[in-house]
Amino acid sequence: MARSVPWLGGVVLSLAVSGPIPSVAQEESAAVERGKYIFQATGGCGCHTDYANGGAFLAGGRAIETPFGTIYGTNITPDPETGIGGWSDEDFLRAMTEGIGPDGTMYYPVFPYTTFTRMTREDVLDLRAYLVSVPPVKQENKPPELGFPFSVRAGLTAWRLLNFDAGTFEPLADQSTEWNRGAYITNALAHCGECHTPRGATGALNEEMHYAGSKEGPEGELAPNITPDEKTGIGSWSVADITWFLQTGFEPGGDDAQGLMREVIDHGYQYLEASDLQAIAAYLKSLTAIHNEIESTEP
Amino acid sequence: MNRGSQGTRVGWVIVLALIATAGLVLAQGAEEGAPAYREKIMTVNGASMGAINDVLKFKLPGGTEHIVAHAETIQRESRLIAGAFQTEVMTEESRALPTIWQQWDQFVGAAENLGQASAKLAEVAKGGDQAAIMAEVKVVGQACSNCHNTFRKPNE
Repeated sequence: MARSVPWLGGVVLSLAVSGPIPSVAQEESAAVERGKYIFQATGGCGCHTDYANGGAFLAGGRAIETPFGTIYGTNITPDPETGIGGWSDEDFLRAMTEGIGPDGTMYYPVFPYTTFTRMTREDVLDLRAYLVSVPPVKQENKPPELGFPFSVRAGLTAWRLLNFDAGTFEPLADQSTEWNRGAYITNALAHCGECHTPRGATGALNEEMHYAGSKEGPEGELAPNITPDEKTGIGSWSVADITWFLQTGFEPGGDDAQGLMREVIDHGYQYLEASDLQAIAAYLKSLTAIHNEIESTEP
Repeated sequence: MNRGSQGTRVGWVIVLALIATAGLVLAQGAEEGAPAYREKIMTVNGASMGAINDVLKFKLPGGTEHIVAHAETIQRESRLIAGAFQTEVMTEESRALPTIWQQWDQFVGAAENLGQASAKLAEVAKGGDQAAIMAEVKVVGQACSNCHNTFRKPNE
């Protein structure tokens, strides 16, 4: 991928003024490294690897059960025919931040473009640089298995009008740099709300219950309340406790994370810099505490 | 048949009945006590792991010496897991899943895996290299999680 390639005159001038500038290859390599970090901050894009059935890395095929039916993670390896190898930067940006594929297909919001729309353009393109650096795998995507009326994609037009608010994360001037960094990672990259915020009847996140937990998390898992409520949330956890949990998967009492939370820690969050994990923790601690007990509804 | 041999037979019947009753009582006792016993073992493991986390998270005095001790506790307790779960019994409060007994060899393997991981953690902790200790803590965490994912009900 050739982004921001300077024209020759610029190269000569830069060399004369400030010494050697990075080559295209060096820039690409740096973008891949940055993109790998973004990838890890998303939790490792686990929906796109069918771990349970030994699927190839990021080649799709993982079944994601939703209340509306089953959707399969897509192939995001750089295979030009079945993956994203033939996509341009703009195609990738549009998919990530608008939920629209290169052929104009509207994505179902099980792909969290409603969250990724908060990512900066630079981070999205760095992520793309990383994704196109992984081995390509030729594997056709599986069509979704949704009942009527959800099987009709045209219905998404109305859904988007009601529920989709596009736009990059805007830092708050009255908050600290750490808080804004934590808010950006939590709300744009790590997409914590996709599991930990309950959904309404249309499947859209109920933002009045921001991070208050969900009884119907992805794949039928309970997603705990991660607001600072003392009784039903993580109010008793310190910044150090939250940071440690995201690094190791261990709760303060010594129990371990399981299921999807374990996955995102193992494949992503554990690799984040301590300062970023502390920023996430500081942001979570600053949220409004919401009393919401998350218990199984099964007998 | 004379009186003596009839008396002997009655005696044997009584003895066998007593043995059977005692067996039933013992079995019932095991069924009653097993869930609480195995929960205690897992609680010790959880507390030991929590203690290791605290030492590292808060950089507590005692450091690696304490980590070694707690890791060795987990290793020792891990050897008891298979025995503690031998009696197949589930209660409403218990988080044990039937997969424990359906996939017994894998369950025992998972307990052995925990033993190996905790032994390695104890060994690495003796060296004092914080990065290496951290790496092994994550391995122990994965051993816990792999077992819990398959053999324990999720958190509620």
